[in-house]
Amino acid sequence: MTAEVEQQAELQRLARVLGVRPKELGFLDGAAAADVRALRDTVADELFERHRRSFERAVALAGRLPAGLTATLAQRAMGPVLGARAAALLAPGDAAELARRLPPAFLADVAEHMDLRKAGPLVAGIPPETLRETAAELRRREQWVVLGMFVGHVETDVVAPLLDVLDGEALLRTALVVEHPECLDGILAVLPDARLDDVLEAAHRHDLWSEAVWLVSQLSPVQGARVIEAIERMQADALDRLAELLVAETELRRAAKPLIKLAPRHLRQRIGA
Amino acid sequence: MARMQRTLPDGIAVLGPEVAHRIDTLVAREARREDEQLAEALAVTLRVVPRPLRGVARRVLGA
Repeated sequence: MTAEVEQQAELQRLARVLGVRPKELGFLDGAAAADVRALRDTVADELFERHRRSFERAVALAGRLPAGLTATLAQRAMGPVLGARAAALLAPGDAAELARRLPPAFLADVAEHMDLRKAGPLVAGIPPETLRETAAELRRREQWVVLGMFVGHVETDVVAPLLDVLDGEALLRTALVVEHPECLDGILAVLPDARLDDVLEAAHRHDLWSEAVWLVSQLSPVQGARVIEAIERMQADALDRLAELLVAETELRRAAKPLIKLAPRHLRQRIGA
Repeated sequence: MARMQRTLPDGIAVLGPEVAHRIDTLVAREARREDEQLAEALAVTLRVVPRPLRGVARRVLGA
C-alpha cells in the first residue's frame, strides 16, 4: 500500500470515530498513517471511557430482558454508534445471540463504528451465516475500509468463510486498505486457485493491477508462486495488458520486481521483463 | 464541556497547538452528540420496554 492510501484509510477510520466526513480532517493531511491510527485509538478509548458506565448498564439490562426485546432496543434505542461501543462489553455468547437476531443492514452499520481492538474477539462467536450476510452488505456498500479493519483483528479461520461473498474486485480493493497487511498471506493461503484466478481477472477488468501488484508484494514466496501460476492461467488479452502496463509504468514495474523474479523465464519474456 | 486532557501521538503533537485544538473541538462535539444519543436511548428504552419490565429497566439503567 502506498503511504498515501494508508494515510487516507486511517483518516476515514478516524472520521468514523469522530462522526465527521473525512475531508473535515484535512488538517491532519501531514500526519503519518501510524500517528493517525494512534490518535484514533486514543480518541476511541476516551469516548468509550466517558460513557462506560452507561454502556455497562445497557449491557446489564440486556442480560435481564428477552433476547428479542434486546435486539429491538439495540436498533431503536441504541443505534449503530452506541451499539458498536456497548458491544465491546457483551459476553461472547450474548453478542452471538444478539447478532443472530439483528438484520445484516444494521450489523453492517454497527461494523462501521466498531472498535475491533475491543470487540474483535466477539466476532468469532457470531454465526457464520450472519457474518456472511453482513460482509455481503458491506461489500454492497463498497465499505472496503471497514472490511479491511477485520483482517488482523479477527482470526483467519473466521475470515476465510467470508471470502466467498467477496468477489475479486472486493478482495483487491479491501486488501489495499487492510489494517494489518502482514495477515494477507494467511488469507490468500486459504483462497482456492479458482478464486485467485477471479482476483486476477478482476485486476484486468477493473484496471486494478496496481492493487494486485501491491497485494502480491505482501506475500510469502509460497503464495507468490501461486500467483505466478495464476498469471500463467490468465487469458492472453489480460496478460498482454499486464505486459503493457509493466512496460509503461515504471513504479508498477518496480513494485512488481519481486513477483517478476519468481516468474519462469518464458513468462518473464511474455510480459517483457 | 471541560477541555479534555489527552496525550497526542508525537507525530500529531508536532503539528502544533492549532491541530490539537481542532482535535479537542471534534472530540468534544462527538462526546456531546453521544451524550444526547444516550439520553434519547434511555427515553426510547423506557418507552419500548413493556410495562411489567419497566421497573427493572429503570433500576438497572439508574433512571
